[in-house]
Amino acid sequence: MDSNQALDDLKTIRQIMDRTQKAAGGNGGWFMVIAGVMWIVGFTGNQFLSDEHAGWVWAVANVGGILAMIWVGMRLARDSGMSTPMWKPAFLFWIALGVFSGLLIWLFHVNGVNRVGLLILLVAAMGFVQIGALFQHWLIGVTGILIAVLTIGAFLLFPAYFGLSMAILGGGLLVASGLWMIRSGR
Amino acid sequence: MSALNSLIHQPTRLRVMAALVSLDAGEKVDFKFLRDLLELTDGNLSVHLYKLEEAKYVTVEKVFVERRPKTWIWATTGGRDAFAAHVDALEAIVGQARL
Repeated sequence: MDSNQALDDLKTIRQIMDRTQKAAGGNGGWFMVIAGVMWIVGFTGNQFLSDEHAGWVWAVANVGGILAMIWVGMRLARDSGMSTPMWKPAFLFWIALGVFSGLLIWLFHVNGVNRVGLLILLVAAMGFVQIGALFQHWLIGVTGILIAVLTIGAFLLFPAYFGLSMAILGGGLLVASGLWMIRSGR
Repeated sequence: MSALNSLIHQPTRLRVMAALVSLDAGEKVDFKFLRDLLELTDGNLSVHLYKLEEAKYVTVEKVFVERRPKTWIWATTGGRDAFAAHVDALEAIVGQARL
């Protein structure tokens, strides 16, 4: 084999690998879009409704979001033509983080909508950074860091508009990152 | 220096292996996904998969999902190693020509 043929083969290999990654990747973006919609709905409720009503909005958003994620996961497993062992551990990881957040709120008697929101968002941001590191996915990791920065910034600088800030900035960031992942296949 | 692998060297099998090794360990694709990705016919892909399976470079698993047949395919560890060695050999040829 001469060097030109070898070079052509190496180029073909690179192209096929890129195409495969693009075709196979990006599915995780759907889960980020759903999480973003949950945040937009929930935090908008925090901003404009009483604590009791906002709690109900969060309950509906959480249940609806989790059901939507399960449905999307099942559809992807059936139709995407790709199977990855990562979905179940990732799903369980988020459930564990949710329980962890609940325990922290209960054990440390965290009071006030903003403080509870701050704690949950920082735990979620930590989760995104960990998932990003685990899957070696820079966008998810960067999204987590940005969420942490935005959350602390909004909590300190705009406490009166914390819910609205997190709906637009936090939820919007998740939706935008998710759509970018779906579009780019990364 | 690694030698070229005559089984993987064939253009279609080279593309099949490139697609499969680009997935993470534990990930697998179904037959239709691979066929459409590589723009091959059912028969052509089947023939080459059979040869790769015979060499234990890939695993082909036929299952039923919601009563529909589905064929999962993934690269074995041996297949990944053989492909890596083949790529090393290609790079060595290119490298030598540049000297």
